[in-house]
Amino acid sequence: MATSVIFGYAGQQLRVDLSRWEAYSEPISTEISRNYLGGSGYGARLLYDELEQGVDPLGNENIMILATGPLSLSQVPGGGSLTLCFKSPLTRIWGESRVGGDLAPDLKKAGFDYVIIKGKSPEPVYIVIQDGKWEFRNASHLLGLTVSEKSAVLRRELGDKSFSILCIGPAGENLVKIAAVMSDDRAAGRCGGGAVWGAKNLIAIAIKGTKKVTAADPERLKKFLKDTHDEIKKNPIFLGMQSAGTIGDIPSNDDGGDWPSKNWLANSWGKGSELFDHYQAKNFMKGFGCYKGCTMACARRVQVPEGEYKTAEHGGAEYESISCFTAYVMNENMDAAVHSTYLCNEYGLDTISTGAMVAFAMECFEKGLFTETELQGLDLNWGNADILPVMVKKIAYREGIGNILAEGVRNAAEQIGQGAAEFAIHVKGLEGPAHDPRSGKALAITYATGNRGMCHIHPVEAMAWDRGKLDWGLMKYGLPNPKYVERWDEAGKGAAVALLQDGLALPDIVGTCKFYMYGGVTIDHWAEMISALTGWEINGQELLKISERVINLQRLFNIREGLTAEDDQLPQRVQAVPEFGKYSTEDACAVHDLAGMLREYYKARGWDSKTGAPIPEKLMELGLG
Amino acid sequence: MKILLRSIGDLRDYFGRDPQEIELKENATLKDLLQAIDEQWGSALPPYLWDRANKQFRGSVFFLVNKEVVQDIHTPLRDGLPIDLMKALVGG
Repeated sequence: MATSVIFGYAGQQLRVDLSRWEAYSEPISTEISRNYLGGSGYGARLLYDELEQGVDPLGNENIMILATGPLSLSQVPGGGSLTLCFKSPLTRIWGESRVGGDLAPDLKKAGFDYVIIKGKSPEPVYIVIQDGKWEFRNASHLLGLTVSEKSAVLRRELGDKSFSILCIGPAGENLVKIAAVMSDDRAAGRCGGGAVWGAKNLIAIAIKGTKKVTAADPERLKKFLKDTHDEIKKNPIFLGMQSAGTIGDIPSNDDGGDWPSKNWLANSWGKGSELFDHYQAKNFMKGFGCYKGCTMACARRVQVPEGEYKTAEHGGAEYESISCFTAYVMNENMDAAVHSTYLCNEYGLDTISTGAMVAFAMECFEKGLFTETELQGLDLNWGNADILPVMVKKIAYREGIGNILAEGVRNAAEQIGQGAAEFAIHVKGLEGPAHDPRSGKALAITYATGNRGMCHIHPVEAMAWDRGKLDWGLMKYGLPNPKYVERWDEAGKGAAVALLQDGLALPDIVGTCKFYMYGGVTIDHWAEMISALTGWEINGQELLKISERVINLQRLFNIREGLTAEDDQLPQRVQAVPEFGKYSTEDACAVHDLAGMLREYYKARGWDSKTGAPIPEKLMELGLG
Repeated sequence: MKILLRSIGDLRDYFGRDPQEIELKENATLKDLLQAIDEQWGSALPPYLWDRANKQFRGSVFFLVNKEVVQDIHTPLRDGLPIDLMKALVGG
């Protein structure tokens, strides 16, 4: 690899061989950095080049990459963002999950842009990374502890509370395929990264540093960052996030048909307002920023102050988490939902997938698909609040029925049989999150085609365009003005979705929180920051090209793992007219022509209409040929 | 005076797809506009959006003038002013 100094990066990556407890530092690749920037882009290039086809995701050969981006700096709007890249044990394709907090800026201060982890430790291990040095330490004493317990023990051992800690909980230790990797109350939730860590016997990583990244033009960068911060603090979405957090969306999404309910039988329930009112009155304590320097501060400190669902004060109650423990399972008890998502954090579980698994289990129960032996007396009736924390624990510890559910919905449905696959809601094996394409059809396309599976945010919450009327500053690059787009129209959205994906994948590549793009930061802002930081004069158009390259490379990774156009689909239930709720007589909200939307999308992407693979000309254009 | 209220996204389900011309007294302020909204639409707006007791929006609903958020209810309005009404759909 090239060894020249790169402005704006720490400049080094740490290669870790857990099998031998060995690691070495090497310069990052200038060429990859220039063409892929960082984050999920740099991660995609490394995984595609270094991972063999067909590798067991829980085997020694899988690679786990912790990836910062060039903008993962505390002073950058959204700079607290680390992306994990790996082959997913849940989906067996591209795995990517992002976590907020101080991890990414701290990793850069520790002297590294990336940590690239292979092998399996012969004993439970944690790694300390500090100021260019690293150390492997036995982690046997951490086994079985919850996430907050592990973090407290480690900070005590290290004698320093300022370390950033990344760790798995009991779920990861038990190789639960929907296990998260946690940093205090922030989660790299999706795709089962926690199980990869558990399989490698990697229990935690502690990170701290004092090094500084050198900008090519520090004055230009400093001024532009200040101007950007000043600009966005008046933005309505910025203000909305700050005042209400993500959970503030629940009443509006319920009303607007963007709240999947009862395992996706409907897109609206009618309980959103009262649930939110309870949260606001009883559970919400204050907002906070998840990383030093966050001005948006959309995270929430919450608690259940008393009663059977009492919890300690904690960070949580995000929109997705709470929705998956209320609307998904028809639970009207907000305290039970807050408590259950708190448990997910403590055990290290993806709240979305876990809520989805409970909903799936409730439907299996309703249809009589479980044996008495499997059930062991569990009452999995819809709306039973008491069962929620019980199921979270059973999944985390693979107890009883939890052992099947711990495999994820696609695998569980296959194991259960008896028609369960019909209501196993996933795409490519990733369980669906709490946004409904029957609120805005653009989401149907991105759900069907997203590289990590059925994901609303990687790369884009497309219904926020056709329903919510956000444009993220992309109209100048050809995005149709959302004011004139009807949310339930289907034709004509394929090209728009491709551009939306390219635009909104960028925060994952440059290493920032995507919500800042909602709050007014555009790709032109990112381009100016990167230019000032690195000295590469880069503009928004080039950023979009880089993002397109990354998305196509991830697509190639998936194709190499066996993905075909048939995998770009959406469960029938998610396309159907809702069975109850506000939109149950609204035929227009159903998805009528997914095939047509995908044809348009493939054409816009330059992908073969039959195979869904990028055509040779597209690969040449992107430098992937 | 007359102002033009333009609602964005889902809010059009309640305020209409076309901009709404609203007649207010001379020297009206944002508070007067809120009063007018309550009189014309208050009974039809769902409780999660509109606080009838206090005649104000609930949740993240903002008035925008020239793309800037206006929150002070004593803000003076002027004849012919277009005001956008948007829900800060925050995502997540």
